[in-house]
Amino acid sequence: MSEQSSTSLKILIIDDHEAVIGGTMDAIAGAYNDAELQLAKNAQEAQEKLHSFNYSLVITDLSIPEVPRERPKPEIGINLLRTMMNNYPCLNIVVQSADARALIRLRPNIYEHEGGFTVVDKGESLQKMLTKVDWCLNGVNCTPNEMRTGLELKEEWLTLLELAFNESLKDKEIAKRMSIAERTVRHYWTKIQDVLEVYPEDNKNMRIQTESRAREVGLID
Amino acid sequence: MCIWSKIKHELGIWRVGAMPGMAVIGLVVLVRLLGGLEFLELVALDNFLRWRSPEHRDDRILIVGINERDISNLDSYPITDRKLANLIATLDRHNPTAIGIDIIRDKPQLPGNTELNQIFSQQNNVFGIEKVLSSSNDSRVFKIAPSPALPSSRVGFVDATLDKDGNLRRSLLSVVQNNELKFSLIVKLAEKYLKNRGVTLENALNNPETMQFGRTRLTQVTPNTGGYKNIDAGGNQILLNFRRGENPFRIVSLADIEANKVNPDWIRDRIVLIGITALSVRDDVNVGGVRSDNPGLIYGVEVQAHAISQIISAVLDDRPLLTVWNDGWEYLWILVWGFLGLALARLLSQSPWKLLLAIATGSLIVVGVCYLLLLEFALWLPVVPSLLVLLINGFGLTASLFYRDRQDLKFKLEDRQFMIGYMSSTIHNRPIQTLKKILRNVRDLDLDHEHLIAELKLLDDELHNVGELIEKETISDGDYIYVGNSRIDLQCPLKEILYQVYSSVIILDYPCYSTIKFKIVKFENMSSEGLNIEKKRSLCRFLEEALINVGKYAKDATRLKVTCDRQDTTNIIRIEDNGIGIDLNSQIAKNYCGGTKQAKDLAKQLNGRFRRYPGKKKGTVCELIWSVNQNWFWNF
Repeated sequence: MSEQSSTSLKILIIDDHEAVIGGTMDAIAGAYNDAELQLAKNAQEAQEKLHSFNYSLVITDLSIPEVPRERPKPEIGINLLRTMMNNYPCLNIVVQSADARALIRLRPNIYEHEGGFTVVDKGESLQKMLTKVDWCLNGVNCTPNEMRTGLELKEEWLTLLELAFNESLKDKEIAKRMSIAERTVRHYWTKIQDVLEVYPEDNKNMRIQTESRAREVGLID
Repeated sequence: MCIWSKIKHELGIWRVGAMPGMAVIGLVVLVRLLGGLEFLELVALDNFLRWRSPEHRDDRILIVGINERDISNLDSYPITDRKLANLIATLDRHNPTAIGIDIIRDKPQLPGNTELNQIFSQQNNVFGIEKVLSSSNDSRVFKIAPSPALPSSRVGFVDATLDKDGNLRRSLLSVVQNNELKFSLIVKLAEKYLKNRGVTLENALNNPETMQFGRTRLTQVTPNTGGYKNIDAGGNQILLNFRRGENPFRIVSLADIEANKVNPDWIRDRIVLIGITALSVRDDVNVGGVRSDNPGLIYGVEVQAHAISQIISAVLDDRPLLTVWNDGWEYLWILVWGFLGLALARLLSQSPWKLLLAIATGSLIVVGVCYLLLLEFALWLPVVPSLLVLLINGFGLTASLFYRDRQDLKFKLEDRQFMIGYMSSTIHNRPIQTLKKILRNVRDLDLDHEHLIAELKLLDDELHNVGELIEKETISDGDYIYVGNSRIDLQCPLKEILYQVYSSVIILDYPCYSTIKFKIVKFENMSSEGLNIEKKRSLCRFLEEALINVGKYAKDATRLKVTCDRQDTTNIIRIEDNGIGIDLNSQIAKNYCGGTKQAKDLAKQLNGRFRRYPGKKKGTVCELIWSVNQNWFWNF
């Protein structure tokens, strides 16, 4: 686990299942002992809190109620995610879900989202969840197979791969060539790495892994 | 949140939908400002005035009308001064408050001039007439002097201000000529009568031009009062609120007076008006607002009676004078009715017949309200423009809704058609293929029990799936569309809807998908402006069809590029593959045709363009583009 400075870490957990809340919160509190944890039990409360505070990370359930005492529905979580991605393009988001297929429709929004975005299956272990939280805080994108329709990417990403691996350019030069910000180049990398399923591993160089995967599947010649 | 988003949704619809309605209101207001509605408004006023129920007769005024029979009994005409002097003397015996002589007497009509002049000069309650207005070229209207024997304090003019249609609706109270303020006979007689009852004529405090009797103000007509546009409002004029009923005043003849057949009580303390009531002597006026036995025409002396009566009734009985709102309120009133038309259309947009009924009811209400306000408070409201905006906004939209309904039905039918085709091909591609395989195995006696069970089980599954597909399609829950195995909510943002269509189709097992290594996608801010559910449904089917075509015909394609994007004001849906491409004359191209026709129809509906053309190097490009926010006017 990388050394994330936890002093200013502000985390919002959106969930309405008592059991899950307990488990998630304890685990997060254990891993980030200086983090400030806040809880929202419905979409409305979440919106209000997001409006008032500057969060480093949001961990949200997909199936949540709109207002207290209403029935939780996945559509509400989807709508909340859409709003969050529109209003806070750099927010790091972890989605907990039992069925990630509901997220497919948000694919175009996820592609444009610049913050970290990871999906945790509710059946996964707490340890795995903490890993994905950590990835998310580092801007990593990680979406499960259920959300994929094969290899799918945006044209700009393909250009980026071409410039990076066939012309061996540095990020700074790539940004100049593509007339985009360097930050955007980094944002593209996280998306590409998710497409190619290259995730942080100790002692491994992600760029090199990315290149070999890209050549392997034929994105670059 | 929920209510708020509904309101936002509603506002969005209004922002688009209210445009044509606002344009209609603006246009009607413009036409009214230019005077285009004046004629209709005046006709409406006349009709309303005529419809009113009768009032009781105003016995404070007695008309002595010299009628056709009186004239034929005279030795000569005009009536002689002596005859007139005798008439006045007879009437005066019964102590009338005032006698108004609505007969020209600028020259002596011998014999008897001395006697008449004596009466004129000595009797305070006798008033004579003059005409003070003349047309600029002295051709049609001439000035006529009063009798020289009358002091000017007992002379009133009888000039009338007619509307462009020749009708009298206003009453001229005073004019300024050569720096001299002259009053009409109406004012003179009303003043005399009211003074006897302790009410004097004054100028209104805040507006010295306005006359006031006691608390009753005679509000002046302006060039744009009520439905009038740019009339000559010179002098001091007020609107005429004619007394209702067929016999508003008691009229007796010269013969009745001479034969002493007149009850003295009819004369005592009243205003007696002497005038001609014979058609052979032209002293009649066109009026639309009065019921009379000779429609649209009453005698001049009756007009004087109406005008005097409305003033003294207003002062003594609080009978309302005809009033109007100022322009601001009038236009607000018109705006309200225009919006009502829009609101009805919006509210009942799902049921055109109900809307029709509501608009008809609304129209009756406008007319009713305007009529009742005129009846009760003599308030003249712009009924014609309000009715116009209500009808145009209501019916215009009704018509467009009928049209839209038909369009939606057409789209729905096309969608059904597509689904039927899709189901049939599903049955052909899967269960029938499986069945054939089993049949062949059976024929070849290649019967492995286990294998047969597996095959039959597959067939069962496939038939089951087809059944499910049909079931989904027949449950028509309005705002969803079924593509592949997904149900897509058509209320989502357009890019999400289309992405779901794409992701649901691309995982189906069409032969040419297997060679595709990767897909390049762009699903970005598409505008759904002007798209109703049916059009969104058609767009989904278009994308589905295009992607399926790639799956069927784009042989050897290694990449697929799907773009759903907006560039400036253009929405683009483009599907490109790098397969072997299609020969436009081949059988395959012909297979495309069904879908092509639908795509072309859709493009037409969207005012856009559909194209299918070979890609740059190889492959096929299929493209639908349409411009957004151009046809807001027709999209309500």
